[in-house]
Amino acid sequence: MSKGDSYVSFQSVQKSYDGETLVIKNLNLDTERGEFLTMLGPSGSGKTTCLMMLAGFETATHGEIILDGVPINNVPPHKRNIGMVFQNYALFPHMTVNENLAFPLQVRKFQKSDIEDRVKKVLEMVQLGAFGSRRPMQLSGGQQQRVAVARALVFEPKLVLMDEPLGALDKQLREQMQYEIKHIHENLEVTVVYVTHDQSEALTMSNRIAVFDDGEIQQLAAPDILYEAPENAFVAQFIGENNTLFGKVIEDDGEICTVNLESGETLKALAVNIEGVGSETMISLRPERVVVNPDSDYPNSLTAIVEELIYLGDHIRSRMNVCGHDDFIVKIPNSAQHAQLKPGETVQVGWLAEDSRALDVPVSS
Amino acid sequence: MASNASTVSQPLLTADGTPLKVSLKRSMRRSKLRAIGLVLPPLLFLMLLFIIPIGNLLTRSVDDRLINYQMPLTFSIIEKWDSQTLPDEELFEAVYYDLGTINKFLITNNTGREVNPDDPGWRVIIPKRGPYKEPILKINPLWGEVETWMPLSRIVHNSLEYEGSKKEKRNVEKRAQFDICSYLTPLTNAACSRLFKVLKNWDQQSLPDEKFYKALYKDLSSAHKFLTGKSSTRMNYEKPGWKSLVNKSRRGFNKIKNPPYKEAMIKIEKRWGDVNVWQSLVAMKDPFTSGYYLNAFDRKYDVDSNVIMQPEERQVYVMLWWRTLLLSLIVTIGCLLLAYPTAHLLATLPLKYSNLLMICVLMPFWTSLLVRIVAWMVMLQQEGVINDVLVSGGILSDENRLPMMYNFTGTVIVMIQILLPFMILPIYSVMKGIPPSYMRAAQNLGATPSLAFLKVYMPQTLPGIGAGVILVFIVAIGYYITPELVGGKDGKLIGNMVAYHMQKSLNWGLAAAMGTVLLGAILILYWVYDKIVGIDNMKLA
Ligand SMILES: Nc1ncnc2c1ncn2[C@@H]1O[C@H](COP(=O)(O)OP(=O)(O)OP(=O)(O)O)[C@@H](O)[C@H]1O
Ligand SMILES: [Mg+2]
Repeated sequence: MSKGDSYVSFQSVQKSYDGETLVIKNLNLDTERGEFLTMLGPSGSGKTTCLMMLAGFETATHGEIILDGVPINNVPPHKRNIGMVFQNYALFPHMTVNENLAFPLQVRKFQKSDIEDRVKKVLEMVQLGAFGSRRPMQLSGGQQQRVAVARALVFEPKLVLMDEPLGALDKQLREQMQYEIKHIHENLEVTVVYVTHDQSEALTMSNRIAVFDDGEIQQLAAPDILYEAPENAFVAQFIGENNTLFGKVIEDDGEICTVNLESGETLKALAVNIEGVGSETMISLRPERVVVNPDSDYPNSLTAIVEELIYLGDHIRSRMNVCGHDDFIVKIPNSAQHAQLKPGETVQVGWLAEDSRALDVPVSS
Repeated sequence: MASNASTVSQPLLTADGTPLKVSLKRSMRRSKLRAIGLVLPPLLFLMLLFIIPIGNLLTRSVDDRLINYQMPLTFSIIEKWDSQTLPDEELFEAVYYDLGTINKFLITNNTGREVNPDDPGWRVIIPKRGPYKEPILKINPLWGEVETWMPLSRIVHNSLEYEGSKKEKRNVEKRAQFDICSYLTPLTNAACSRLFKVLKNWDQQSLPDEKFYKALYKDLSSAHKFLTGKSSTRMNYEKPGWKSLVNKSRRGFNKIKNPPYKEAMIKIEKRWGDVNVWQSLVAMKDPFTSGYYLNAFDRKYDVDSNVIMQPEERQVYVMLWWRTLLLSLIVTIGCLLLAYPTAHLLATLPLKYSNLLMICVLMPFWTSLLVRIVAWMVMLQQEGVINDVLVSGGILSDENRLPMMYNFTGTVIVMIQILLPFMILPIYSVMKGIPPSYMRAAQNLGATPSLAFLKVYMPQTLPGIGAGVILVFIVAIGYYITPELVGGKDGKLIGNMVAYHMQKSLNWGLAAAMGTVLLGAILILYWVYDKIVGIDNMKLA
């Protein structure tokens, strides 16, 4: 992507609150116009900080933030024209829903009739037409959330920031709201920067996801790529379910490498993020790519003892002991020809070399 | 559906067959009893130390019975007088009997309300040196019967039966002497010691002899003297001069032996010839009076019960009310202006600094009020620190030192300082509960910081402002220590007058009336606040 068509751009941004530790370490991030970009990461990884810098409530210690080609480091928050949905919604409790929605229009000195029209339109968009005269306290969590979204959109900003807007909602409502937010995004063609630490939320909603950890972007990619092709151990473990096997690289032909496990077996895997022959590596493998009792031509095959079976309808989840570790998960599809397993049984498990990825060893393990 | 309908139609039962409601009630009873047990002590405490004294205050401010005890005969016939010309002999005679004799205690029931002016008993004079029995029986033959003396005897004997240490016994006997007096008269704090002594040795059967009646006369006479002293003080509130008039007359009345009394009384004290004196008597007739309240606003009744202003030289209270109101308003506004930014700082500074600031705010609570006031004296007086600095800085000349102490200004300054925490704390506690995200949201939506503050932050602090304003205003309106010490002459407030009448002039009726007006003002304020903001919106710390 060339610099020209990026809408929001962080250029080597650093941030420190106390002058001792960097909360954001050299952040480079470009967002396209109309994109739905999600920042995903564990708690304390610096997502809110990024958003606050973008909205103007924190200043970058170093680096430049550019919005639509204009550096905004010195633009005060109220002149940035960025919509924002706060983590706790921040609906003004002393105003009714209508007054809350009219607020950004009033401060922009819109005509009275114009304000009424827009408020009505945006309320209908979030399906709260009948609630205009209520106070925020008199609304349910989901309704409040929709008002917050409506308020961030009513003055038609080109960029909308959302900081874990669905964090306080129950699962069902959250899924419904995800859908509605996505819908609004598509209809209005605004650029959305969305923060969450819920990976399924990130996967369903985003065009691209920036995975944050420890103040750095670990990987920035579309959801499917992130899931299928994680570039490092953190992303592989953070997104989706993941089996890990640790070993040493003994051979590397540039594409496929051979890894010697601690327990002695040898495996073949995609060489994604290894430092060459002799280095430690973590092999990452999605549970649904494992085949029970594979054909003899599978490149990777290990002996496993079935520890536990959980019936989940569409598939059966099996926890097995492989190479001395009993946290190896296998998802067996519930089809006519699937293997009938019993706990304690010894079976063979296998997978293709292309389905397993040799990555770096995470620092903590 | 069918089973549902049947459960609805009959009461629900618990497993053992008792109706659910009954067993729920039973299980609730215990917890209810426990709750009552917990609530009772503070409730009693509140009753004893708050509600009863306030009730007492309210009654005192309208209670005017004392004067009716003193003048039962006069008041029973005063309505016949045209209240324009000097009264005729009949009224003079009544006043003579009311002020000069104890007959009222022997004739009427002791509340002095059922009076028959035609009773010949009023006109019997008991000779000072006796004999006493014969005239007393003439006044009221009941005193010749054993039955009449029995209740008194019972009081005495009950006290004699008391077992205990010598000191306790003496106290109980003293108490009995008071009880006898309050049985015979409306006075609760006069002692009838002679009657006590006589009755101690009575067998409760033989007819009382002369010494009984002597004791009765002597004790009632001293009680009457006591009553006259108190009631003449009360009469003096109505019209200055009454006290000396009554005192002089009482002594002079002894010399008057025979009617007609009119000329004799005027001869003894010529003020009896003044129709104004008699007119002021009419105003005191009612056992309940609004006179104290009128007085608290520089007003009084004239002869025809119209409300008129007090004479010019006695008008002080209206001015004091206005001054108190003005000062309370100034202090409240001053406190608000100083407290709001302070509270904001307290709520937003990092913990390290806000703790320090909080200590500074609370510091006044840790130092004695007097010490603080004296410190202000040092600061503000004409030879004080501030004036010295201004003079040595060349801003003021030495002759023009600012008077900042012993006047209105001094009172305002010191009271603002003293009451400031009462404003800061409620506002702070409300501000503390407002997350910073509101201000951010407002700015994010396009409001400048000042507009965001005005439109979003400030309205949310209103409950705290309301609570602080009410609190400070209520305390300020009744304050008296500070004005007493630094107020000088033109810094005195209503509170000082209340204290003065409680402690110095002992005009408790007036003090109570002022206190009641203060209470009423506060209740009205509360009501207004409730109408405008809503009490449940008020947030204290
Ligand atoms: N105002 C502040 N002063 C000092 N440190 C801060 C401040 N705000 C955040 N931090 C620190 O910066 C780091 C990143 O915080 P941030 O709020 O950006 O995390 P986050 O990714 O939003 O986490 P979460 O998912 O829990 O919201 C944290 O270690 C936090 O302790
Ligand atoms: Mg956050």
